[in-house]
Order: sequence, then C-alpha cells, then structure tokens
Amino acid sequence: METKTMNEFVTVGKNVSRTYVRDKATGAAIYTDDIKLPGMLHARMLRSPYAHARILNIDTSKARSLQGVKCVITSEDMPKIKFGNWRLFPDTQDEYALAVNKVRFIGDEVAAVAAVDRDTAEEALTLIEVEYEELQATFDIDQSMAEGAPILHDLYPDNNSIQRKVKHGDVEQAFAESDYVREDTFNVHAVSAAYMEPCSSVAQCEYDGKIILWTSTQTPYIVQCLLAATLGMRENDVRVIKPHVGGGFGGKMELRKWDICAAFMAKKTGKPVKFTLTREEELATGRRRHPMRIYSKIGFKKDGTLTGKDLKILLDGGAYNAMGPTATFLCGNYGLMLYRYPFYRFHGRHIYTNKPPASAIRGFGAPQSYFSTESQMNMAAEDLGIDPLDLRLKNAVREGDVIPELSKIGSCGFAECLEQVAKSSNFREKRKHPKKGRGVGIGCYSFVSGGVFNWFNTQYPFSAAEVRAFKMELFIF
Amino acid sequence: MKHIITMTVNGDPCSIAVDPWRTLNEVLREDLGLTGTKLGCGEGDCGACTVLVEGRSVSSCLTLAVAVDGKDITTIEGLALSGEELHPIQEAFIEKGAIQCGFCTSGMELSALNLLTKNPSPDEKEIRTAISGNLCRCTGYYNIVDAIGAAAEKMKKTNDNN
Amino acid sequence: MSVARFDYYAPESIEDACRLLMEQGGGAVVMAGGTDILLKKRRGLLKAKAVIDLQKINGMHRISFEEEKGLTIGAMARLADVEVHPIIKDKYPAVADAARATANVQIRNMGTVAGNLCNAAPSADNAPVLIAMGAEVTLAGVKGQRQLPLDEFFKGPGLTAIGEGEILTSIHVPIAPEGSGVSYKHISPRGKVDISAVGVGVMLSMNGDVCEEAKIALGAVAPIPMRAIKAEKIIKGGRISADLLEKAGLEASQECAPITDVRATAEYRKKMVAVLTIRAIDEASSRASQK
Repeated sequence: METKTMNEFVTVGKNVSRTYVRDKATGAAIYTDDIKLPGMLHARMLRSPYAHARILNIDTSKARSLQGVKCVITSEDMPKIKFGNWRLFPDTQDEYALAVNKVRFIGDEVAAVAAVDRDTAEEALTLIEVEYEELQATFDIDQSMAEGAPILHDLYPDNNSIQRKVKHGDVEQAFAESDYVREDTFNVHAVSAAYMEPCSSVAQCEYDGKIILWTSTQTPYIVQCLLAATLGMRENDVRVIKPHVGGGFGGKMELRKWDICAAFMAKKTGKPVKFTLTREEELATGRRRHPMRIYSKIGFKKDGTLTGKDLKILLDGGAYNAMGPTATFLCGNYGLMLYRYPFYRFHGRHIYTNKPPASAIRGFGAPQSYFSTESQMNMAAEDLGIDPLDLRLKNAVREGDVIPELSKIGSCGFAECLEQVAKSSNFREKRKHPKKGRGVGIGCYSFVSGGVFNWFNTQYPFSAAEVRAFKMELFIF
Repeated sequence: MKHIITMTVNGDPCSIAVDPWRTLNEVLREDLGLTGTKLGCGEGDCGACTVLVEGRSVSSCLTLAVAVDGKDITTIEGLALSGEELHPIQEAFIEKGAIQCGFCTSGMELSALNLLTKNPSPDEKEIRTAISGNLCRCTGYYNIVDAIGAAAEKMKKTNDNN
Repeated sequence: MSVARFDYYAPESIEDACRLLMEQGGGAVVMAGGTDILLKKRRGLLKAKAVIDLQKINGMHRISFEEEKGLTIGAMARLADVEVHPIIKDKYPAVADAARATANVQIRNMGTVAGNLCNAAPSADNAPVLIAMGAEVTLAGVKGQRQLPLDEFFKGPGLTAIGEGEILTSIHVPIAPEGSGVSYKHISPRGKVDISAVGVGVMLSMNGDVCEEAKIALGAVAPIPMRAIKAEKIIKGGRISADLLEKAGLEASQECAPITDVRATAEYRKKMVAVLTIRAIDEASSRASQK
C-alpha cells in the first residue's frame, strides 16, 4: 500500500474550519432559546428566598387565575422520583424536580409556571403564596460539621454525603523516614462557569405522549435516561436534542429541574414549554466549582525525592450532591497524579451546606487539588534549596509507572514537557537572576481523557454509529 | 397601549405594534424572528445583544423598542446570510478560529463593524478597546483580535479594488 | 419581581416634555440614553408609570462651543460623541477622558453625560471633572429655566436637586482659565467596562510653576461626588513638586469617606485616592504647561 506524504493529505495536518462555524458567523446557528414553536408557553421557576426552610403550604390559586397563565405546578403535581447523575449509587440521588417538604438553599426551585409570555409568567410568580417555616442554616463546612448542626438531608445526619478513602503504603512510616515534612491547609473558593448562554430547555409532547426536549446541555444521553426515569417513562419515548450550546465548561452535564418541569408541563398542557434562565439565576443559584478546604502533608528526602502525601479534603458541596461524588473521587485521584508518591493516603468528604450545589466545572476536583500540590512543590523547593522545576523533574511520573487504584501509564511526556518548558522559557536562568519586580513560576496540571469509572449505566449504546473492526469480504455483483 | 413602530431592519422596512416596555432585544428575537442577536445578561454587561442602531453598536437589551422608531437597525443577519458570500469580518472570524461556542460571535462581529467603519486601520489596543464591551468565555480573545485585524486588511483591499 | 409596565412619550419640545412630566405627578422618568433606566427596569426597581424620551427634542444632541461663553453639552449628547469631539479634546480634554472612562463602548453609544449626572451614582465618571471645572446645569420647568452649579447638584446616592417637573436640558462648562490644565484619573477592577471604584478630577490654574487655583473632585468615595477642599488648599499657591503632590494626595484620601462594596474595600479606595490625586495633579500641571 502506498503511504501518502504530508503534502498529499487533505485533512491531516491542515487548517480545517470547524463544522457549523458558518452558521455561527452569520447568526443562523440555533441555540435553545432561539427555538419558537407554535403555541409555545414560557415558563419561570419560583425559587426559595430562604436558605433552609420547611414548606408548610403553597397556594397557587391566584397565579392560576392570572390571565395568560396555563399551568402552575409544585412537587404535589409530579411523581416524587429523585434524580442525580450517579444512578448506580441511588443513595446519592438527592434532588426532586421541585422541592418536597423542604428548601435547602436560596434559589431552590419550589414551583413552576407556564404562561403565554415571559412577562405573564414572571407576574404569576409574584402571585404564588408559599408559607415557610425558616430553619437554622449552615453556610460553611465548619457550621455543617459542628455538634448540633442543622441536618439538610435525613439520610445524612452528619451532613457528609460522600466519602472516599485511598490508602497506598504506610504514610506514617514514610514521614518518619523523611528529611523534610511540611503541612499546609489551602482554601479554594467557588467559581461559576459563567458560560455566555444561560441554561434553556424547550419541551414538546407528541400526540402519543412521547417527549422531545431541546436543551442547552453537554450530555443529552444522561438527560434522556434520567428524564425518562423521573417522569416514569421509557427511555426510548424521550428524545433529547442538543442544539448549539453557548458554552458549558462542565456546568451543563446534568439533568436539570427545568428539563423535567418543561417536559411535565408540556405533557400537561399539550403545548410546547420553554424555560430560559436569567443571568441572575445562573450566578445566584447555578452550579459552581466546589469550594474546598485542603489539608496536605508531604514528605521529601533531602535530595528532593518525594516520600509520601497525606491528603484530607473537605468539599463544600452546597445543598445537593449534583456531581459532588465525582469531584470527591477526582480530587483524591489528582492528589497523586503527576508525581511518584511511594506512599499516599487520601480522605475526601463531601459536606452539605445551605448554598447552591457545587458540581462539575472544568476539572471538578483537579484544579483545587493541584493548587495544593503545586503550591507545596514550590514551597518545598524553596526550603530544600532545589529549583522548583528540577524538583518536579525528579519526581515526575514516567511511562510504565502505576498510579495506585487508577491506572498504568502507557505513555507520558511530562518530563519531556518540563525540559522543553525550561529551555524555551529560560526558566532556570530567570530564577537565578530575577529582574527587579519580576518573577517566574511554574505550575503543572494533568487530567484524564475519557471515562473515569462507571457511575452511569445504560443498556443502549450511547452512539449513533458503532465502528467494529473485523475482516470482511465484499461480494460485488 | 401598544405603539406602532416603523424601523428599517437590515435594509428592510418593518412596521410592528409593540408594548412600550419591551426591549429591542425581545422584539428582534421574539417578534421578528431574528435570533442571531443573543441575550447573555440583560444588563448591558456582556455584549451578546449588540446590534447597530444608525450604524452605532448598542446593547439591544438596554434599548426600548419604541425608542428606535424611525431608525436603521443592523443585526448579524444584515451582514450576510449563511448561503451568501460572507462579509469580510465573518470570513476573518472563520479563518482565524475566532468562533468556538459562537454565542458571543454576533455581538463581536457587530462591534468589529462599528470599529472598522470609524477606524479602518486599528492597532491591537484599539481593537481590544472596541470589543471591551463584549465578553467571550471560550476563546481567550486572541483569535478574535487577530480576526478583526485580518478583517481590517480584507476590507481595505476590497475598498482599494472598488 | 413585578414586571415594569409604563407608557412612553417622545415629545418634540422641552415645554411639552415639562408639561407631560408635571401631568404625571411624579410618576414619570425622563429618559436620554436609557441605559440606567432599562437597568432599573430589569432589576424591578423602576416604579415609573411613564417614560418621557428627550430624543425628538430639537437641539438636545448638540455640543457647542463659544469663545466667550464656553462649552455647552446638550442633554442628549452621547458619551461616544463627547469622547471624540475635536473641541472637547482640544480645550476640555479631561471631559473627553471622563466620557471615555464611562462604562463600555455600547453604553457610550447610547448613554449621555446628562444621564450619567442625573442618575447621580456616587461613582458617576463624568461628575468629578465637571465639578472641578465649575460646570453648571440648566434645569427647565413649566415655569421657566434656572442654572445650578454642579457642585450643588448632588444630594445623595441617586438623589439630585432637580425639582418637580424639571428636566436637565444642558451642561455648561466655562472657558478654562488661561494657563490651566485638567485631568481625570480613575480605577476599576476590570479597567475598561465597569463602574469606577475611585475617580479623581483635577483642574489647576498655573502661573509658571506656581499653582494659583486648584480644584480637586473625588468620585465613588463618598455619598456624592465631592470636592477635596483641604487637599486643594495644600496645592493652592504652592510650587508643584513630588513632595507637595504627596501631601495633597494624603489629605484627599483622609477627606473622603468611602465604603467597602463589591468593587473595592474602603481601605483600598483611600489608598487609591492618594495615588490618583497625585497622578491627576501631575497630568493637569503638565497639560497646563503645554498651553
């Protein structure tokens, strides 16, 4: 077989325009809020003004009788089926489409309205009367873990919903044998994904009860499977279409309450129903990256060789799990990625607080974990009198290494990257002779491609096409 | 009571009855079906809603529709439709990889047009100032700045040829 | 949040506008660019039952300059136009700087200097320089019109001296004295698009290198844009030097009363008042010496 040279390739090695980019350049690309269907209703969510409260009563009668309002629902109208991304671990699924008995953060969805236009729906929200009994709330990890703290979810009286432990070797022995040990506590704050396109869903109910849902999501199949479950429908009767999405960054990886409410109200009214969130809703009540308190103890030999790490992370999870379980899992993984740790111990705990749920945002667990790792490497380098880049080179994982409980490294260019960076930035020279008012630093990062482990199951292939490689004989007639 | 407003939108006359409190953004997107103009924040902070009124870039989310009665409006759809020959700014955005999720793109292109109409040879600082009212969460702005510089070159060539 | 619903009028004369305003009995707002009004509407803070738009009134957009009288900026003159106006850039450069410092490109294409003043945010970028330059506003009402010095205009955050039925129709800035220079310096977290955390406007009247008159106005560090009177006294009559500037900056930072909010802490604002006062005096004296 002839091999083609680079010059003969049409796609490989060429600058190729992305598909759909012409539609985006001309404003023709359709995002969910651009969708307009005949008879479509506009919907809005009523949200809790309290961080933690019991719902005593909801009176929707005035809202229902406002002209133009076609549907008002609360949890009383809907199947009480919990949902959450980790459906192989049903105890972690702690959200309902609309609040049942309690609200757990300011912004928690309590009721939904669908009306002929957005202004009418907005007006209707002011007419829904909710009687709350305010409860004591917790706003940080310490408050949640304190003696006598308010309990957010009955299943977790200590407000700790997820725990993960990793142990590899004897960490105490490792420290005893170290020449240099340091302990630090790092605090990382919440970060909003702030994608340019606010979340939006449009649901349409077909004549036979099937649902079509257009939604601004990164994960249409997860939405399909979980939406079917929450509505008590077969997965095949729910079709989820992902239009163009204006950014997600991890913040759109779950089934969301407006997906469910849109579908439910579309069924109820027979009309398409659209939700689009405002920027205020996104920033005040939307998903964010987990704030964390990271306690990390590391040990080195005096030549800079790492001996071990003891990592304890408390995740400030907000009021519901969302993708907290994944973040808890990942921050422990990333505690020992990048470098060779002969001994490693990790204890991660996801703590509920009465704040908007933290979830997947760009790295979820990794940026926070690496912040601690990399800061410690730099501080240790300073104390040990070793160049921080060289300290990393000394300990960098290489091809063939095994990351305990995670994987074997099949190929790795980390050390090569470090050398290249050192050369092209003239790092070592700049560090030796810094200019006044200038500095140079280094931070490293790593993540996994593809799946981490199986928290979600489906009996269907998650694909439109499967490529199976096998020998085939072709008969031409 | 609704007001009847008459505007020229992308060169076409348009007459429509609107409630006085409705924004230009709502009227464009919901009544006129021109969904190329986006809504990102509703407060004039993000620029996704940028359109041109009498050739000047404005935030359509902060403009009352009734206040543009009798005026000339240009939305992204007024640059070129996707089946047509593209405007140099659109070509440049595509060539320079300045479009990822695309949500900021309409606003960015119109802000670019606003700039290049007034200043055909902007330097990098002027380009960055021109798009300072348009947020992008995907690209990091470098490719957008490059695209606008490239568009300026293209437009100068076109003008030279004319 | 209740949806704002209101009537809209676009009168063609100032008399009609004032009459409409009176008829609405306090239930109307006057609109120029509309950017602040639409923001209030969005946030459910607009209680008005009517919006009176000034854009159709003849002459409202005008920016004019007369050798004897000075600069007149009409109520509808957009910030973007003030920013690039050749006469303003030449004779009142800091007025152009302040307009350029306001918000972002789109807002400047819609918003007006008059609107920025009438909204009366303590951080109004256009206030400090205009106060330092001794500007006046013209207020028109059903009974006629009156002039009001700008440093008597602001009464509190969001509050002005505009009386019932009155509309601000223009801003008048006197001829800058011979040998004077003006400057506006400001700082904000994002730099180009957001509301200023601190703004300092300075006008110096110089005689050689002696400062005969100094006006220093501070924005965003008190309930209203304020004059730093004590700091002015330090500069007045003195020779511009690094030492004098430092003293003036320090005095200005002690005179102001900033709060801590999303944009900056009170401590940081105080520090920045000192820094920006020094920079503004420096630029003003440098511009003065170029004349």
